Amino acid sequence: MSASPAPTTTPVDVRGLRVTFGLVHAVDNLDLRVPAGGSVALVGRNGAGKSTTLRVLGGVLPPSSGTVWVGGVDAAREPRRAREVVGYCPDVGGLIPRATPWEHLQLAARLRGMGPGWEERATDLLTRFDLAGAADRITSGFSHGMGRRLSVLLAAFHEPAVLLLDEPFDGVDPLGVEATLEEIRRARMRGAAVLVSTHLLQLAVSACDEAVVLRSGQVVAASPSGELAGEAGAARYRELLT
Amino acid sequence: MSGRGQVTALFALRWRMIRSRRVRIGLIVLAAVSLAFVALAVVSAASVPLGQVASGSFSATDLVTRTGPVDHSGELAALLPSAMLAFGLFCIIAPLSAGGGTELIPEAELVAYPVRVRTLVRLSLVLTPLNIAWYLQVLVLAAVTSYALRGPGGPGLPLGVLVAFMAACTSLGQALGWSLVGVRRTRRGRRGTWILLGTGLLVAAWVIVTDRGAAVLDSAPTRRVLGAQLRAAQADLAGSAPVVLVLVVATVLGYLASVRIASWALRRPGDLGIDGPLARPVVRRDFPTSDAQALRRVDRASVWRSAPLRRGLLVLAVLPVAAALIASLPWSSIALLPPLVASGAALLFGVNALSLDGSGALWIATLPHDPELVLRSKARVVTEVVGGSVLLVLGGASLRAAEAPTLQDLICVVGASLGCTAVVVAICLRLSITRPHRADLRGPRDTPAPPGTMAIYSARLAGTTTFIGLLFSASTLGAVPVVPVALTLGLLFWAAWSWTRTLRMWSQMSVRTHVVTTVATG
Repeated sequence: MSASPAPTTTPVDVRGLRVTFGLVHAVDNLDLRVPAGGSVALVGRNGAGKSTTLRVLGGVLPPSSGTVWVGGVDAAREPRRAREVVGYCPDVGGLIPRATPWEHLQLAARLRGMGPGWEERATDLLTRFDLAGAADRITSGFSHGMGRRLSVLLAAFHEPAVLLLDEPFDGVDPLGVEATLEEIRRARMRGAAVLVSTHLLQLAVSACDEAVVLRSGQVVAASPSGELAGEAGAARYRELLT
Repeated sequence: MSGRGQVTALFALRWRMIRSRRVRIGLIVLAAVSLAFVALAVVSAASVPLGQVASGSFSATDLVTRTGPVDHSGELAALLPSAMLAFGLFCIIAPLSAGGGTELIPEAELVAYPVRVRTLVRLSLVLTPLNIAWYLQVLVLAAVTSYALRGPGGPGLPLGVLVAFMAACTSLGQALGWSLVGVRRTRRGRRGTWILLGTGLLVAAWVIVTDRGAAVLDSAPTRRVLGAQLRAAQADLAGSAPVVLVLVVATVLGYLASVRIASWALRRPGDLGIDGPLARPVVRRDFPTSDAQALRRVDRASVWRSAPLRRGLLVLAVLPVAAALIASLPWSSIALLPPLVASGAALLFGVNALSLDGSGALWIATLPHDPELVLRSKARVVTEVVGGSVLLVLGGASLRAAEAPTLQDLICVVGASLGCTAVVVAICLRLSITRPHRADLRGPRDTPAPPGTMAIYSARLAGTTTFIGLLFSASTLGAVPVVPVALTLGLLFWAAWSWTRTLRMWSQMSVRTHVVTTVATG
């Protein structure tokens, strides 16, 4: 792995990121920056490297090479500190099957060392995501959409400097989508950097200022998300995928 | 596709799903060795010379103290009905505890395919020998039959009767297992089965307290099977035919009933138990005082809230204890119990302990914490389950031990318990990080690893713990406490060394990433 450059003030600063699994380059020389209060959508086909990128930023997966700074922390060298500033919603599940939402929140509050105000914040989020009635039920009985909503809620719980959402809208009903969009707005307003990976182009356009299109682990286009809006944007997006 | 075609296709798929060449070779070797053991047991038992007839009761020490061939065939034949009764009870309890039987491929993964219920039942029947307890009983029964019931034409015909008996028990056990799956889909059904279990335990307690164990065993229906075996040994085919016919009919009826009942059970709408919408909310607990406590709480809840784990723990808590209470064992045999129970408890989830977190493992990995705490928490919970099961069976066995223990007995039993628990936990944690699997542990038939892998694990654990148990059991016959003490210390040292190596591996991020992504996403 190459030596880290000087710390950056940009909350998400990725340079030359490579992730390889055997002979496969899942992410290949990726550069990505998300400023404070900004939001970027990662879009692309299945296997383009979106989830892998987010897992590296979330401190779950070590990069093969390149530098990854999140919230001013080198994620490769100090993964534990990186996790303190990141809130991550995984693309699949992301929930302990036989724990309740409240138990997830309690565990997160404990491991993140959150202050006594955590219960108030947890109750507020559960209400906004329409999960207050299910707060003490086992998550394995949840519908897919409920699980997604809870994953987003858990990522945003500690008001992180970097919010990483992998497929947050997948299978979520319109009210859940609205709650997620609202949470993204709130995160940006407090100065957090938001990175959203999604297949739903129109929601990506709604949620983010900028869109980065990935193909085979590489950036093939980066533009204001508005350029991918509407039918013309969708047609351009399809061209970029092939 | 026909039912048989589906069975073949699913077996082929499962075989292709085994990516590791070592596991494939291991499975082939295991199958060959298992068959070879049965053949060896039959041939060697049938060729043991029968000398003078033994007098008095038979015990393990006889094997050591007596010289020259002694004929134990009469005593062992007298034990056969009880042994067959135990096998019959096991065949009922095994599918009951496994929610109908063993799965080749988890039900959730087959939901998109038109797999017939008949296929599921056949697969479950075919996979029965993967249960090591079933296999070991088959081995013992075949060996005892070959030794004790050899007739002029050899043990072939009595063994044939035994095979018919085993097939009937296995088939009927499946039908009962699927019945329980169907009944337990509603709250009322679950309550009913608890009442049934409670009644069964009360009856067992009454039998034990009133010392009617021997009378119950003497009136066991398996005596008729023994009668048929004895007649078959004398080449009296007509005499043994009625029992064999009944057993064959029971096998066929059991299979047909299994298909019908499984079809009903799998279609029956249920309230889904503790994770259903009608479930009572979980009571909130105080804020944990440490990170370790927070993780432990979640792990313990993951065990107790899992239907297959709860059922497995119940079977482990009740069955060996009841058997020990009824049998009134000598201390040399009691020393064998902790190893057997420890390996059974480990197979519930310990061999893939990280799977308790399921897909949440990925989320936990993004929380700021010392990763060692996660593994330590799993180790603690596995130790609690394994150690708790061992303590329960020891308590039960010591209550009705055949005689008062000597100091040597106590040292051996405590040593076997401590040593086996430590070794089993160390093996479990090692397997958990070197061979992780995705496992929901939600459905009644869910296991922590695929069936072939579970068979390898159970053979490995049972082999290791039985060997340790035999060492301690033999030590009870001696009078030198230093031997079991040294053995215990050696096992504890090995377990500590293995655990340290496992922790060192876990400290590598690449290992953690592999484990976490495997248990979370498959």
